[in-house]
Amino acid sequence: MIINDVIVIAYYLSVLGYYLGVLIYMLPIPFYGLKKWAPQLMIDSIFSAILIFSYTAILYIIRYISRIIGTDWNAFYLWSAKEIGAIAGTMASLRLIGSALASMNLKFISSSIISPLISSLTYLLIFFITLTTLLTALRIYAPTLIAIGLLLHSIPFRLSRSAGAMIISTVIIFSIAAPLMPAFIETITPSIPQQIQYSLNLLSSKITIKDIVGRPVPYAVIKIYNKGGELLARYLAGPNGEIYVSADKGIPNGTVYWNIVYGPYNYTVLMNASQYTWINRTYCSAHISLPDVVIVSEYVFIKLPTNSRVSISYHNSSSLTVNITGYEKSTFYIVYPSSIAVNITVGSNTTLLATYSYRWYNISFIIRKYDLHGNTCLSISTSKWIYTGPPNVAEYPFVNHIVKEKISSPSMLITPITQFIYAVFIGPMVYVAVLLSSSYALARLLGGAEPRIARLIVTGV
Amino acid sequence: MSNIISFIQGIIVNVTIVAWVIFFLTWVIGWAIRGLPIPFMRIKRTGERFIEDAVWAAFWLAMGTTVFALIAYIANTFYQPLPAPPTI
Repeated sequence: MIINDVIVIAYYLSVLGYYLGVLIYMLPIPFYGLKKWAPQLMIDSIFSAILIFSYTAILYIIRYISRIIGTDWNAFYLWSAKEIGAIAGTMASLRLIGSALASMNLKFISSSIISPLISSLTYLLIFFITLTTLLTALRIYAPTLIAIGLLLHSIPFRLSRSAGAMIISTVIIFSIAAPLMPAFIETITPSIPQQIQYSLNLLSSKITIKDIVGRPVPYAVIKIYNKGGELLARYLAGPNGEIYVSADKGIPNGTVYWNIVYGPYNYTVLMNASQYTWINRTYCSAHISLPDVVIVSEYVFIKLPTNSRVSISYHNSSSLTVNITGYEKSTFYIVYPSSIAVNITVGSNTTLLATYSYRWYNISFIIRKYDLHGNTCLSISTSKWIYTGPPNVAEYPFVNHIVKEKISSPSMLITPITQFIYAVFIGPMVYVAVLLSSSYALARLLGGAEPRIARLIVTGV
Repeated sequence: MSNIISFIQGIIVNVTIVAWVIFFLTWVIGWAIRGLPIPFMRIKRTGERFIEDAVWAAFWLAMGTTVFALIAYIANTFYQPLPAPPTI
């Protein structure tokens, strides 16, 4: 409705301009400086009137040309959402690295490199979202803006003719060409920027470690190695055999070796993506079952012979009876801390071969090695229970490992940011400048944009 | 909005009336200057130009509605839906 009124006002203004021209033409004065306005006013008014009557045609031409050159606003929005997501993801990764650095007492690196990068990404994000909003506004309000442009164009004496022409041409050019920005940027960008997140290859996870019958293994230690044997991460399980690895610590995504260490016991498994239960793209849960361990109580366990069969009956939380059926001449171990008194009753077919002691972090273990012929039944109960507490293992989050690598080559941190600046700042700026100069050329065609106005819009001075 | 429209329409009507009045005034002044019993041809030519301008302006004043009607007619006649773009 407003558009209609604006168009009607514009029409009457152009009629007014025409009659004012005629009036000046008639004036009985010999000042030709004033009189030269007369034909100018009449011609301008007629041209404005032609534009006003072509309003529907202008909108149709915008749609028609857009269709021909394949303008797709949905593709543009998808592209901008992807870029915004990539920038936000990179910011999150940088924050992660920053907090890891702070935990490694390298806060000065975090404040000298990471913080400026995050703030530049913030500005970049603000710029990009503003630009997208502006282009969306141009698209949505195109009919209104063209009507306002026509109104300004038809005001007599060329008071705002340039501004009107500039508005009309800008709306036409940007409505048609702005959605092609992704294609333009893709053409001039050497490679598509990657999120740091992808190169971090980082997962958050809940890891559960259990024994052969599904009882939790308290305070087990997981060490993660790559194929080259390099330590990537080290975590300590809680008293319930669970490890919560948050996103600011992370486990590596990909094929790696998990080495579970529990006192003298050692178990290695090759882990890859198919062994995780995926909750989403970056969060998974992992269950490790130790195939030859029976947990009696905290730090007290039986290491079974390979390929043996067991049946267990628990009497209470610290006492159990185990029936073990092994092959001929196999061995099993009973492991417990030296601070705990353990009553062991073994059946026939079993002889104690040796007793060792073993120190693991701050805990001293006693290992009893038994010989097994066929099957046996053994009962274990613990008494004089003394709280040992968790082993004093220093955790080594995976993020720390990555940060060590990244900090050794800061260009790896900066390169993705520069690519972002190129793709979402310089690229769009160049494209907008191209579109503005096209708009200026079209504005001159529509009735002359003052070079001063165009310069003001483009350069701001 | 309709206030503004009627305001502009009022101005247009006033301008038209004033223009007709000025046409007659210019016509009279033009002939008066042209008919002056003086030998200064430059002044007489000014009078002649007044008459000429006034006649042309009167013509365009009379043609005003016709001009805009013509624009409307041409714009509406020439605005034919363009053919659909070729599809592959």
